[in-house]
Amino acid sequence: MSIVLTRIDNRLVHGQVLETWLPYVHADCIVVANDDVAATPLKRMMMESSVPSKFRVEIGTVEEITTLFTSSSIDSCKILLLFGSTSDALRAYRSGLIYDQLNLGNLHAGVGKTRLSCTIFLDPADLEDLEELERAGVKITARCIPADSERPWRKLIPFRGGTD
Amino acid sequence: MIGLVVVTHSTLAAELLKAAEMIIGPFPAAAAISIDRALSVDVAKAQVAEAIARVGSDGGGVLILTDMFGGTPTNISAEFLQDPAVEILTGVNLPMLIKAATARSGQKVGALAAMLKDYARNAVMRPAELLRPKS
Repeated sequence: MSIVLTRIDNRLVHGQVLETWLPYVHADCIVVANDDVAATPLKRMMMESSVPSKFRVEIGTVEEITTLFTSSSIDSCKILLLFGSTSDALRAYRSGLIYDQLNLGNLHAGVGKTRLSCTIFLDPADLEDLEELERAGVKITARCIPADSERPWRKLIPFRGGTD
Repeated sequence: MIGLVVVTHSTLAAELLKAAEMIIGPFPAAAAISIDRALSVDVAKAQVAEAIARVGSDGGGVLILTDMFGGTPTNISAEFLQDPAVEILTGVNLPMLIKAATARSGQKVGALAAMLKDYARNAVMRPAELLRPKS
C-alpha cells in the first residue's frame, strides 16, 4: 500500500479531486475518512457513484479508515486519502494512520477562522492540530489544484493577503 | 409553476441563464448560483436554500440544474433531495435549460426531470455524422 496524496479538503470528493488530483498522482483508490458522510446514506451514495468505476472507493468514519489501513485489503492500492478537517487528520494520525506529507486544499471560512489564502481559513485549534502533525514529522503544504504552486503552510502565516 | 435553480462552478450558471433569456426572452422563477473556489460549503448551501425557497414559493416544486455529477454544486444540491418537491439534473446545457423554462407548466417536477434528461442528451449532436454517416 502506498499513499500518493493525503489531503484536507472540506468538500472531500469533488471536481478538483476527480478531474485534477486523481490523474496527477496516479491514484487507483480514493479513501474518504469522514464521520458525517459515513453516517449519511445519501451523501455516501452520491460520493461513491461520483467516482469513475475503474477506481476503488472506501468511505468510512475516521476510526474505520484507521482500522482499514492496518488491514491487508488495501495492500496493492495507490491511495488518495481525504480528510474534511485538520482535527480528523490529526485524530487519524494519533491513532496510527501515518502519512509523511499533508496537502491543504480547501479549508473554508467559518466563525473564528482567519483567511490565509483564497481557499484556506484556519482558527487557533486548526493551527495547533497542524503544528502537532508538523512536530511529528509531517510535511505540510498548501496547494488547491496541481496547477497551483506548492507552498509550505508556514509561508501562509502571518496573513499576507490572497495570492491565489 | 416549477422553479428552476442553476448551480455551477464559477459564473457559468448566471451566464447560461443570460444566454437562455437571449434566445427565449426573460422567464420567471429562475435563479443562478455561482460557486467559486473561495465560497464555503455552508455559505453555498445557504444560497441554494434561499434560491429554492424563492423560485419555489408557489409550491409547484423546484428543479435544480447542476453542471457536473461529483462536483461541489451537485454535492451541495443533493442535500435538498430529501424534499420530494426537489429534483436535480446534472450536466446542464443550453438546450436543457431552454426546454426546462418552456416545458414546465402543468408538469410534475419528477416528470419534467425525466423528460429533460433524455432531451438534453439527444441535444448533443455531431454534425459531421449528418454529412458523412458511419464515419
